[in-house]
Amino acid sequence: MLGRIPFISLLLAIIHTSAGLLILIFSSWFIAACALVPANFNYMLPAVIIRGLALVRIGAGYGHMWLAHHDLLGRTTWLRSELFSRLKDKYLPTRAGDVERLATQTETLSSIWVGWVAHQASAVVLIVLSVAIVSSLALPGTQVMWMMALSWMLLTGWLVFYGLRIAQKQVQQETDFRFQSEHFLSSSSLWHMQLKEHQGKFPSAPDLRKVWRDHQRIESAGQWALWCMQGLSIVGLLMLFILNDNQGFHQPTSLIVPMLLLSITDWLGRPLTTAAHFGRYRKANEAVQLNEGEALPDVVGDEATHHIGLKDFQSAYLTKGMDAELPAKGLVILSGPSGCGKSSLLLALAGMTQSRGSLFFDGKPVKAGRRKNWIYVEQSPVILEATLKMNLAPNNRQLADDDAQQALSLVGLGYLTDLEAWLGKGGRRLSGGEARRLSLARTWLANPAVWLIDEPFEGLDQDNIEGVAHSLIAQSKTSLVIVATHVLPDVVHKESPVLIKM
Amino acid sequence: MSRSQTLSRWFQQSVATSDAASNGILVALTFLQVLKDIALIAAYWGFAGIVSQWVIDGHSASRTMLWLTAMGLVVVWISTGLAIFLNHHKRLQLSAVLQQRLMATFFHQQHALLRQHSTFYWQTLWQMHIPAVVNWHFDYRVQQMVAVVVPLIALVAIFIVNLVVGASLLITLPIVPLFMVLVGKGAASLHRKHFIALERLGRLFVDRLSALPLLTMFQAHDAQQQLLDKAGRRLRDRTMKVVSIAFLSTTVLDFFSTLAVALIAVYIGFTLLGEFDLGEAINLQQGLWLLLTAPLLLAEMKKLGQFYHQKAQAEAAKDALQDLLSEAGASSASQGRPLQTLSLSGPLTYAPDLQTKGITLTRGDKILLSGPSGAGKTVLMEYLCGQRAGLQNPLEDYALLTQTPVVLPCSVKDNLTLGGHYTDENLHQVLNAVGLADWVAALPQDIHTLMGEHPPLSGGQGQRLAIARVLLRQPQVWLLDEPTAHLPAQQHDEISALIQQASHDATVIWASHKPLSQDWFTQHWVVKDGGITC
Repeated sequence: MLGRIPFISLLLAIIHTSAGLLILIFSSWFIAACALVPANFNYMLPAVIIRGLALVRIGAGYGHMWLAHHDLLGRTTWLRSELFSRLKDKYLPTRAGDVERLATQTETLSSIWVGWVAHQASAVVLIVLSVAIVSSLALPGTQVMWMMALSWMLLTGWLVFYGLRIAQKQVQQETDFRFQSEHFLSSSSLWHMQLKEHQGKFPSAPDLRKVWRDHQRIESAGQWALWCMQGLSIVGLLMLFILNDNQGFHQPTSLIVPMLLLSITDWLGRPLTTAAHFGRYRKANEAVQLNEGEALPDVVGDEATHHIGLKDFQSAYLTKGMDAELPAKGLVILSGPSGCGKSSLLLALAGMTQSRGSLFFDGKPVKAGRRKNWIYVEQSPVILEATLKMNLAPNNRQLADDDAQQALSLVGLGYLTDLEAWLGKGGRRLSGGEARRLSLARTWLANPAVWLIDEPFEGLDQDNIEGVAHSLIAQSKTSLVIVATHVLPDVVHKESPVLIKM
Repeated sequence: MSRSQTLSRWFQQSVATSDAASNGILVALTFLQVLKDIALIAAYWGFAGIVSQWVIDGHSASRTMLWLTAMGLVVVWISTGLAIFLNHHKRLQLSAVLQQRLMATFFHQQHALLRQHSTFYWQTLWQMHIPAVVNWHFDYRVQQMVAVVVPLIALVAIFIVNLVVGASLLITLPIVPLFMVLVGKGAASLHRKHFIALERLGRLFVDRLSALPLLTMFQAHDAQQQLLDKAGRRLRDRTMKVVSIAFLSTTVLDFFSTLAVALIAVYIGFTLLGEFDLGEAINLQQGLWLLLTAPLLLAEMKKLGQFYHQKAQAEAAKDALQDLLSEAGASSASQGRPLQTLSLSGPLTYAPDLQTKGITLTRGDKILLSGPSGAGKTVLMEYLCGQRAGLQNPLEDYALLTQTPVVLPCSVKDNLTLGGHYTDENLHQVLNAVGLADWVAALPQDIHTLMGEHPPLSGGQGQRLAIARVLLRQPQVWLLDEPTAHLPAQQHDEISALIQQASHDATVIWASHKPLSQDWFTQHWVVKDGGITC
């Protein structure tokens, strides 16, 4: 969950807070000592120590901030890298925004050291130190300090427990909200009818008030806990004064406990108010660790040389498979209305989804699965936020500029000459048609034995349809090109491809 | 709304209207915080008195000092508790009000607004941006006032007790506003840089995660992982260089507050010893009190720095929310007035601009709306039905059909009735009319079958279901926004014929790119270059 521990940064955080408290205690003792003027009081040394402490505090503060930040960025990269490598050859069945959430959760998780552990560790050290010093010197108010330490332990324990419990509830509520709001927001074109049926009120509007209330509860739990602690210390302080009313203290060290009690919100404030946040990190950790994705079918080796047979074959998610006989080379057109299962058949053939039914190569039954030389080209292809070159060769292999340029001209994208141009946000944005053609160029460069192309003509103008059709026809001389489409351009029709109606 | 408008002004003008976030609460919270610090200063005096009586004088503490300490601390405690309570209570209240405002905006602008962004955008706006504004209002703004008032009070008190310490602090006081700027600017640039770094890194990660199947297909997973790692490391190195300087602003504040305590302690100690004599006598009570009070000068400002991220988040929220949270002004006034004729001329909408020399819509008209994509056909329809502000008496009793039919995860029946009351016979009738009778009959539970996340409907069937929904309601006006855009030619013909038949008695405005039989229409409007002509 946590990876390597940032020892130095933690140590600096502890030094930073301890030095702050020490300065206050030590200074007050120093003033009291100066007022008493005991014989042989070496006042130079404490004065130096006070100034030294101040410098230590400032230095440790800066160091902690720097290292914690450094660690945070590195840790985020590391966590993501780990998650990313776990997701190799898998896919994430996600809803809108899930991936974005995963990115935020890794960020939250990596901030646990600076946001939670550092505070709690400082509190532990300060409590242990102060109780130990006060007890060993047998100062007045030792019992009060023990009481405070005990209360702090109980309160922190309760806060962590409470934070975990609420966080669990929050996960459920947030999931509910996401589900509800997604349907609510995406049905906005129905609202005018829904509102009419419900006299101008949204019938099933999601509500975040509960989520906010629970979020608020976690925040207020910490603040109320600190408030209780403050109340206890006030009682302790007044008791100390009243009970010692007759004898007095006489020793400068005797003001240590009162000073500790008086400044309790300064040194226990942050630890207590953040204690309940532990649930937040646990929640993020669960989201990051449990996200295993779903495995894609295995890679299978064998290839067909003559023909490919399909028997009741389809994606496992559809109920009815189909029978067909395909050549090992040539042009195959899958036609049929949208929603009839063209895309899922292509995905099943490409091994990008689990399949049903059986597959035969040259008459022999073979396993369905991913095949190295089979490439599926989506209807709305993914364009990486990367350079044009990276988009043409996502596996970062050496790509000759001439080859890249040739591939681009082949699909009518010859005007994209700068291979280092950035695509996506902050760079050139491709239109839907351009993106589709780029994905064809990408596939052409990978030189697959089998092309599985989903609706390549959708959204292209007549010229581009012909251009793309010609390059697919040319490709079909050397490989198998299966095209799912509901329009059949004349150029393709003339080639008399294998037609499969679905 | 200009971008340069400050956060507070934006909040006052478009959010804090009609008691949504009254300034009274803000003042009360500030008052409680200031009261707390004043009581604390008083308690410190009592505390210092008791301690010095015991340590120096060796006799028991005077009753007055004990009472002063007790009263001071109790006031501190109570005002802290009250502030926590008030803050949390009002915070939830404001969140609820803002959520209501957002719903009201949704109510008025409906699809015209929602279609502009993705679902994820709206979810973020709702889930993150509203609380961001609320947090900023209750934490940052209060702290901002406290950070100005408390140091002044503390300084006055210090002056009364000790001139030398007071004067030396006063000399450094002009540095305080400088600190404010420093902390503000420093924290701002820190946050900006930090956010940009994290956002860039996050975006790359999100991008590659969304592309997992592609990476698998091209055996590019390992290469992309290396790239992500390298980008992460490079970004860290670059960010750290910039951020190292930004951290200094926080450290400077820490430096002064820590050093102030250290130097005051040494000065007081030496004065008590008689090593220093700057002409003003000092005793232990005063010395201890000064030591305790001096940090208050900077403590509240340091706390403001901790809240700084809230300001950055609220700024982001402001840019996204704009006037979505303002009280919705225009209410659809005309109730159930049937459409007879509607004549329009002159400018209609702004951004995008639409104007006309004159168009007239008469009851029963069948209007074909054409023009290049993006010219404003949809905008015109939104204007006519009041989802876009401007029209005095927007169309009542209309039904809108869009390119992508919405199928809710509930049952077929609920998909049609949308919660209204219709008989099953009625439902079967309309399903029959749109040619879905066979489809429904084949479902396991007839019209009570749940549609779920992935409804068993093709694009054409979905559109038929949407038409059935409209048919059930028999609205006066049908607004058709390219309902056949995504359908193949044959389906387009069938569905168009179906719509023409079903909307026979109604007024129809039909935007389409695809060919439609011209003689069915009574008018032809063309939207082009911001103008509508008939």
